[in-house]
Amino acid sequence: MRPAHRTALPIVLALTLAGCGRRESAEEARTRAAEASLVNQVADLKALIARTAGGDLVTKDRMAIGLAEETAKALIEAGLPQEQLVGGRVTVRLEGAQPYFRGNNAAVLFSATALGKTGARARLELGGRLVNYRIDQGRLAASVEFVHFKILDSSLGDLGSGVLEGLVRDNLERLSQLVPRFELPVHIEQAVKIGGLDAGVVVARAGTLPLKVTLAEVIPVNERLWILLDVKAGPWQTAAAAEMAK
Amino acid sequence: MKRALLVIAALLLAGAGALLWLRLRAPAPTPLPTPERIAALRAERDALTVRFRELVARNGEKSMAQAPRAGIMIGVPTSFTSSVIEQVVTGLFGQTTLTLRNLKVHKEGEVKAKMLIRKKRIGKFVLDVDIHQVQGVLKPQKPTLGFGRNTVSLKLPVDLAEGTGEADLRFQWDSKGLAANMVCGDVDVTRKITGGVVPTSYEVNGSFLIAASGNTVLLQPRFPDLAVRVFVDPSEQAWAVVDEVVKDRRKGCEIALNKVDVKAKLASILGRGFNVKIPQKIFKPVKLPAAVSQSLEVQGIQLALQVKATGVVVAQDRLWYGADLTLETKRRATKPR
Repeated sequence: MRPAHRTALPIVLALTLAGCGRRESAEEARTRAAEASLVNQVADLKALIARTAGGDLVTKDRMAIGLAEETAKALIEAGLPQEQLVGGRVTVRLEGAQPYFRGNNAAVLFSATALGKTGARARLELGGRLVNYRIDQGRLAASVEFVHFKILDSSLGDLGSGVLEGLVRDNLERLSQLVPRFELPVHIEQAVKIGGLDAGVVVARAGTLPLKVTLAEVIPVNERLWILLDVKAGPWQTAAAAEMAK
Repeated sequence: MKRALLVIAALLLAGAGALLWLRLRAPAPTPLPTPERIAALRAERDALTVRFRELVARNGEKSMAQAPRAGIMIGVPTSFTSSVIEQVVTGLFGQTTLTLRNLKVHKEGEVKAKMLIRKKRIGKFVLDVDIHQVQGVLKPQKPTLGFGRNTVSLKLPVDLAEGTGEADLRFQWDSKGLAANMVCGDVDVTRKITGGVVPTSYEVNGSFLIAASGNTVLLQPRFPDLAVRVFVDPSEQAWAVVDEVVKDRRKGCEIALNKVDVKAKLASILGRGFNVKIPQKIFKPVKLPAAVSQSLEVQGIQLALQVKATGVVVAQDRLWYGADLTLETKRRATKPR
């Protein structure tokens, strides 16, 4: 062995041992994420059961709206793909979504691709949750907040993947804005309007029954997102009075 | 040169050593969860979900199992539906007026009186009441509702009350025979009178058919016409006017006119009442206030949603509506001009 080789060998071995720790495979990462998610679901369900048993959670006399996971998936994906340049170097493109409404957790798993300027490519998984549920002009809406992500596979190598991880982590909030506003396809009227009648002898004046609708509970269970609304009707107003009240 | 290479090699070795030391010091990664662990967690989650469902059912949520399965499910509490129907029906009836205009009632007859030996005709009267307008207001009471398989039955007591009206009363008296003519002569007086409506109670009976209508649930009214009879009730002022007409005559004439008994005649002709039909179309279809949207705007794209109702179920506690959605072609949303 030449002296130069004698010097280089321990260096290469040491670098290999130090830097080449195995990255977790996509499957392993998924299993870990599934465990964490299930642990959360179990804890949240226990809390929900305690609230229900204690009489804190009331469903009776509330309007219930249930959205299936598959319908939610179609609605979210209708707004995809969406892409954004992060850190001036990498374009992240959201391509698919899979909502999970289970165990009192409303989660959405997004599949995405990160594309570097050099052509390097990586597959990402971004985990989000639905937050900020609201009734906006009679429509039920929520926002998606990313809470974690994972690089599934990459042509960047470990070092490049590490850089990408840092970039995505730093821009997670900005990436959340890529997700289209999540809107349930249900319209809640603000009033029941009833027309009048003028039949000569009989005259009935048109009127309006105002409705007060407020968001009471959100319960994602059993593959369905349940939204409970408090609804109160009345008092009846004649059309003229309702017009003046506006 | 050789010295420089050795320094670089030493530095690299030191760096690698430091990295290795850090890696070895780092806590060992937690072991990967086994499939059994994942399965156990899933089973626990599912058992808790069942437990939650049972608790919710015990707290009054009875009909979840009967609800039509669909992409979107809407459950409207029957208590809320009742409240809407009650308020709509009583609100509408409470603002309903019955207005009769230009009604004419007429009564005429002869009056006979015993003159010395036999009864003789002493005159002829004509009583005309020209009702310009009489208006009654409906006052609904609390309705009784009953939820059936796909209907809501409704029983609504309604009072006809608070009526007002005005009319011209014309009384003509044509004395017959010399004696009657000398005592009374002919009379032709017209006076304005006022009146009201005799309060009467009715009951409206019918139902609302509950059915899916496109993207929502519609309560379709099924009611017959309601026949109402309006009885005009002359006011104290009206009776006073009649008294005046009689008392303004000479004594002999007053006696003759008293035989006519104008008051009784007036009460008799007005007492027959006037028929009014409240048409069934006073009841309007009621749309429940939660509907599946037929379009959505996503990131500036207008998305048409095809809504296919999967069923409506009327349960004890809720009215369920289910619909599946199909997303149609995207088109760029246009801002209204």
